[in-house]
Amino acid sequence: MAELREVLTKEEKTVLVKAVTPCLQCGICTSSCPPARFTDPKLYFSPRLLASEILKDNLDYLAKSETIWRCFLCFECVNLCPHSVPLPDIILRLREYALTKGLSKKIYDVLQGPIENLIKTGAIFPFGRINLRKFIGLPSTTELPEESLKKLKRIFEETGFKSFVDKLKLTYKNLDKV
Amino acid sequence: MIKFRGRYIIQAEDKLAKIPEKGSIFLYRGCISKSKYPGIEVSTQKTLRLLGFKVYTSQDEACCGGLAYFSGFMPFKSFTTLIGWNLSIAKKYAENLVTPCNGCYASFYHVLKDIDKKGGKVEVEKVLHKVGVKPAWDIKVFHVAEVFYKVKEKIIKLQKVKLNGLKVACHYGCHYLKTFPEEVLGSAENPTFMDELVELLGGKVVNYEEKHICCGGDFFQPEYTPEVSLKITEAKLRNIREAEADLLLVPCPMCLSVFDEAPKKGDKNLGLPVLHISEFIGLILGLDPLKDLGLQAHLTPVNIPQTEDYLKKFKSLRRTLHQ
Repeated sequence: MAELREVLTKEEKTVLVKAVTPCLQCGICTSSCPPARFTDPKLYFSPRLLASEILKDNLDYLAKSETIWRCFLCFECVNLCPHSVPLPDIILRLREYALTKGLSKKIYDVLQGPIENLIKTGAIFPFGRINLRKFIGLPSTTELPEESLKKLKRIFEETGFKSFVDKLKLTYKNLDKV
Repeated sequence: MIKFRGRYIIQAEDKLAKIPEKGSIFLYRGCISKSKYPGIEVSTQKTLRLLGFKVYTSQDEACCGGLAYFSGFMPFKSFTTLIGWNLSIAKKYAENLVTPCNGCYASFYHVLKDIDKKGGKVEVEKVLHKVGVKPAWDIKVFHVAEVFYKVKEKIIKLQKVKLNGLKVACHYGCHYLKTFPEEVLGSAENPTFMDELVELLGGKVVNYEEKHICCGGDFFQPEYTPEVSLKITEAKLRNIREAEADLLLVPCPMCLSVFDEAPKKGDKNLGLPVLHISEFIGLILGLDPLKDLGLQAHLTPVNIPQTEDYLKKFKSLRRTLHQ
């Protein structure tokens, strides 16, 4: 746990806590939140509680918990919040931290395939329905031309996406060994 | 990264004035229409051409990066550069980018709204220059549903298929309504433009409970928490069925796939025909449900009177094409 506190720099932590500071704990977020309504009460998911944990500076606890992955990013809460507390953005930031620290094996397993597909082909979902495409008069292939794909791969390398994903791969591979 | 979201609403007239009604547009198709529902791609192209637009697409189009970014797998800089790549491809053809996908729409706005605030613009442009691409941040992004509303008179003039009071339920989708409420055509809390379009074309809009809640889709939740995702979808479908709708109209391929697949995953009795707005307008303009719209990709058959002929041919065709 202490390890994660070091990952979140003081400045970054302040930004997150500051963003939630206007929260009144009125609970309109939880009352309007679709996953809060339908998640098993034993696993209870509540944006209000999440905001409360951030206010208490329990950021390391949150990053370790599954809670941050249960949000559907529908942005209902931020639209209804009297102070427009940007919970989806905060959750997104926490997801990044949790992922890089090797705390989110389950989500990594779910998304590893699509992400690798994105790096390899430039599209997150595999191309499909080739027969149907031909039938309705579309080009049967939607693949990027080789030249463009090369450029795209360079973008992924230069902006750090490729190395980010490679690092994740290593992190979760080592995790498996343990 | 963290920002204050203004709660004001732009007057519908202001927004409406910006939407293109003719000329060249670049169609950004998005991943789901390319992998699951090619009918969305073809119907958007064909309807927009029938409505007088010059429509361009490009094989160079890459993923918008939304799924990767919103699940924490992609740094903002990479996300911005990827969007920058797509925008500059679009700029080669047109000043306006139109997309049939809520997710892509939100991704574009996330970058266009934040690029100046979050910094890093110079670096992103440097990378784009390195791969020989000219940055084009001034391009305008619209959802195809907005374009259809703008040219509604033309659609009425070209209408070939009558709706005859078909009961239609509309779902607008979160990533159009709630990510940037100030950009929504009309009110983000109570949008009406799709409903208006349906009424103008002779359909009957049915209202249902909890109209504006999530479809249960998100980006990865149907795989990550399938039970919660399905419960949300079924709650929506139950409300829509209770309102006795014949058809569910959505502007987003993700929402379409979630509603379309739900009866196969859960309660079979909750299914109803679901159409993307482009497929719907295509149907109205007289395009063939099989050869032009590719409705055979839908798992829940689109059994409304307007597609009767298609249903007759549906079964045998699906076997050969559903691969």
